[in-house]
Amino acid sequence: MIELHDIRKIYQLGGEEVHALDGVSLTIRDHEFVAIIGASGSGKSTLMNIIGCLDTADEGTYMIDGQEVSDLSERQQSILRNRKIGFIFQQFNLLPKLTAYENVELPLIYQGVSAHERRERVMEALEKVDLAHRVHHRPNQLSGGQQQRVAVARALVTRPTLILADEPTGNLDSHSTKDIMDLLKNLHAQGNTLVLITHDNEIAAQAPRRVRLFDGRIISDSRQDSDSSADGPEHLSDPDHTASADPLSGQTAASENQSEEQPQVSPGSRESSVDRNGGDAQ
Amino acid sequence: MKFSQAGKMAVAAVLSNKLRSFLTMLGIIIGVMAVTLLISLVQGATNTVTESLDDLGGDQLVVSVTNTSKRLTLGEVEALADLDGIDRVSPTLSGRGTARADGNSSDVSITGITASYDAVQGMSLASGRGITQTDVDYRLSICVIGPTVSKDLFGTNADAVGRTLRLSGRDYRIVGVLEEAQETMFGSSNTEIYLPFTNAQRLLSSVNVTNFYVSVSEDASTDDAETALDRAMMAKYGDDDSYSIVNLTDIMDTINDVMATMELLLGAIAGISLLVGGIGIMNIMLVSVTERTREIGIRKAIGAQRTDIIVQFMIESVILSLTGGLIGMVISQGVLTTINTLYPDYHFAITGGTASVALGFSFLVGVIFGIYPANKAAKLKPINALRYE
Ligand SMILES: Nc1ncnc2c1ncn2[C@@H]1O[C@H](COP(=O)(O)OP(=O)(O)OP(=O)(O)O)[C@@H](O)[C@H]1O
Ligand SMILES: [Mg+2]
Repeated sequence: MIELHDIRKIYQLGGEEVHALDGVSLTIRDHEFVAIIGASGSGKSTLMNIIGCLDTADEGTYMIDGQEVSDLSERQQSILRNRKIGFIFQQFNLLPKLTAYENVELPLIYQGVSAHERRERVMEALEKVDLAHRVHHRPNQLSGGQQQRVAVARALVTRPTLILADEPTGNLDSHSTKDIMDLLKNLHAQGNTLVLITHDNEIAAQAPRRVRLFDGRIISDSRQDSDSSADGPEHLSDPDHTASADPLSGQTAASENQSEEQPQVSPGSRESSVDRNGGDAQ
Repeated sequence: MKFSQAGKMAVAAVLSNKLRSFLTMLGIIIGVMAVTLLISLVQGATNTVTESLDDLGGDQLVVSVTNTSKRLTLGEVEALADLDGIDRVSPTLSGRGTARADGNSSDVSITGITASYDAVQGMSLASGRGITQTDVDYRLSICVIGPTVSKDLFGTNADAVGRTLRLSGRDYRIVGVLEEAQETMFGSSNTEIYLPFTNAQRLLSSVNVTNFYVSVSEDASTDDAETALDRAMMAKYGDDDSYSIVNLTDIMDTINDVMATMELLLGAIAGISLLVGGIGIMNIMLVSVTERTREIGIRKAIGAQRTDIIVQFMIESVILSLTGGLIGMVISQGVLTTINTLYPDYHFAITGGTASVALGFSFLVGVIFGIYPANKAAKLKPINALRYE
């Protein structure tokens, strides 16, 4: 369970303040599949980095499984990243000098898993992503799709509860995109919480819940069955109300656990229509 | 993470850029080479000098008389043996000459000695006998010769004992031949002819005792003996410019002191090159940290802790410095072996102490100059490292 409350992140850029996150409140329950969408620069990656404990918020509170993250030491945060979270990046972020096998093995080494068990689990993970035959290849000997599959194997080998994927298909062709999305959906089906960042509406439409960011704020949070094209009304409301409304909506969602569309702030109808179209496309 | 895993990663990193790793090590290689070579050379030289002095006799005093107007007779010198702390006195009289026999000749140094010479300075005979009190008392024309003299006059394998040689027109019967002695920096007894002291006085037309050696009693200290001797000589000459007493132990101590200081000094100078080597390592490690910022970010993202990163980079820098140290030592051992082969009189070697100091220092250099880059790497915020291009 992930609970963000009034998270703010401000960058100083040439004396000017950039509010990358401007009061984000969001609750993600276990086993959820959430797509975070928004235009470039809307703060998606910043949000994911904070959720993944790669970065810290300037203001606000962030609880993961009931534990306040800012209370954790640096060491505890690395352990948390190592055990609970699996990262998948747009740039794959594999270590270029290590083979596919060694890349997948690395998080287990940091976990202190025995050599024997490592072998089994690495092979298991590589089989899951259908790369058992490319074990000793280096990243530069693999295609983009294969590299991303190695990254998926590396993310799942530790059996994390939370998978964070930042534009995992951003650098891939449509075929590899489908492979990766199938893998991710499969992970979700097996009980992982999945947070997927994308600006591709078609991909976002595959998620039962979509959170839309605009200028560092959540402007909509829609929940639906991924195969339904239901599209609730989205209308403008007081932007300042958003921050405080979100945790409430999260709680509502948690208690009712229903597919619903959360009416949210939308500074322009263009954003809403994009979302609608995405839903329709599904 | 286990240490062995960190070690594997570090080895992989070092091997992944062999040329750079080697160039990084070069500073340490040269530093350790300089340290071990210089220290070993000084130690070897010290050993050679002390061995030479030991051959001359460690526990003895050497007296030379410079005042030619006041004679010191053989009897006066031998009387000195009665002094407290003095065991025996061995006066010598030296000169040079040419020995002839069987139509051959040999340039020799001639030394007149008494029967106590053997006890004071030592004389190892290959055959025959040494010079006795009787020989001295009766001024006999006999001699003991060094092996080179024997070879020059009678050939390589001939036994010279019982044969006769001529020195300045006098015949001398050879009663003993010395064993081959090691060349020292003060020469050797190989080209020596020893005569009874009284006979040498006549041959060299010199009655004065110019030099004598004094051995110290076992129960007395060299210093005490020196004091007693000095007092007696003072009583005879009245001023200390007329004679000099040299204490070989003192000389040896002084030489050892000088050599130790030199060892320290050269070691320190060579240590500076080791320091420079360390800075080279730090430099490259810092470059490496910057280059691998993204790698560090990825490692941190997937769960590497600060200590994991520190250990990885520290091992890397220690591997560089220790390997450099080992290579440097192997090279300097090679140089020393070459010197030993070219100059068989020397026996230079890297002692265990020098090796441990050199390797210990290389290790320390790796640790000290690795800490800063490793810490810098470990402190990187994962997000900043990941964003680094
Ligand atoms: N390290 C940084 N320093 C300064 N400004 C930053 C930094 N990182 C992000 N920003 C700014 O914060 C805002 C949000 O950035 P972020 O990377 O989260 O956007 P994004 O939604 O992921 O965009 P994209 O879809 O292009 O990846 C942007 O305006 C960006 O310029
Ligand atoms: Mg982004």
